[in-house]
Amino acid sequence: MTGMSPNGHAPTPLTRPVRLGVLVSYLRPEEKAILAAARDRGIEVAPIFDRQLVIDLSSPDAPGSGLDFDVVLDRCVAHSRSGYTLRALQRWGIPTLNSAEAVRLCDDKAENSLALELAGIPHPRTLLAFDVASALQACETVGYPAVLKPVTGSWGRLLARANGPEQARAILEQKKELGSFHHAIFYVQEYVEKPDRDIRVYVVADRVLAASYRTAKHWVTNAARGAESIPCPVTPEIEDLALRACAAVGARLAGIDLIETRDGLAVVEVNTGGEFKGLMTTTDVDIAGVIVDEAVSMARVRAA
Amino acid sequence: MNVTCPECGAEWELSGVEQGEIVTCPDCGVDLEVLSTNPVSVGLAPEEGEDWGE
Repeated sequence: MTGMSPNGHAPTPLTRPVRLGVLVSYLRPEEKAILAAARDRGIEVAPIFDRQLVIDLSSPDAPGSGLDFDVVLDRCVAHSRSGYTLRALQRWGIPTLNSAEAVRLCDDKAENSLALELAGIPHPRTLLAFDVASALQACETVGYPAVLKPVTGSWGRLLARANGPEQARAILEQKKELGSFHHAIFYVQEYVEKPDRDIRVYVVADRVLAASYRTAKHWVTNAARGAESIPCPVTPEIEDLALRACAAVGARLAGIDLIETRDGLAVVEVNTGGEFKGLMTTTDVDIAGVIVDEAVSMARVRAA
Repeated sequence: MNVTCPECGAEWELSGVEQGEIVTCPDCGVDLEVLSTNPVSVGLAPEEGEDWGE
């Protein structure tokens, strides 16, 4: 972060190693790579396990909550935990790679859709409904097959493709009975015919680092569901769309999912906690290293 | 260092891991979390929450 500090004093660079906190639920290969990249650069880095946090909402600063870092990278898989933590960090003036607002817009598929549509980015037609009967109407509007997704969570869980109204009603009734109110928020999306693949693009700070095709015979082409990653050249169209999608939600670090439609590329969603395990196998770009470098460039500077 | 799977009792050698890392039991396939590294110990991985994702 550069420029004047909030109190008007000119900031001075740190005279000690940057303290980077990595907010995690647990360590995946991506987080291990990030920690290793930070240590290689001589950065003081520590994982922050979300389940161990006690966030003092009444405190004017971060140390009492064990969050006294110069910059924090959110790699937490629990969306609600990351949202609250990022908002607390924001209050305490601790920079985070993705803002709380960007994460909020990406962790909720309906918010994500609204932001993409607002920015004029090609996106599958999506409707939202709050009752089984109205969700059935939404399915009729987008036509069958219709795709039903939960608004929170990812990894392809609880995705369903309804081929007709009977199937749609059965799926919707089951979702409604799942217990959490989130499952009775019905996110209905048109089914887009596409090759047996989608495209994962990784962006850090306005730069597309790499892209990969995720191929699978199943219509859900998600790496967490076993899709295979193969290299994808970053075309000007991919780059333009990925950067515009990031800008639409204000993300500095994200995995963007694109699909190839008959009318060109479309953005399915932007993931601020984007995984890149598959991408790591298809590119020579040191994704973890770039993320760490970007985090360091944003690190808090002390006022003189 | 040998660790024991709390699910099936399998024993195997585990090294080069970090606290909080998820590993898989080579025998029963259950996901395990590395609880400590000195000595290395593992426990069942946290259960996936409804709002979990990337």
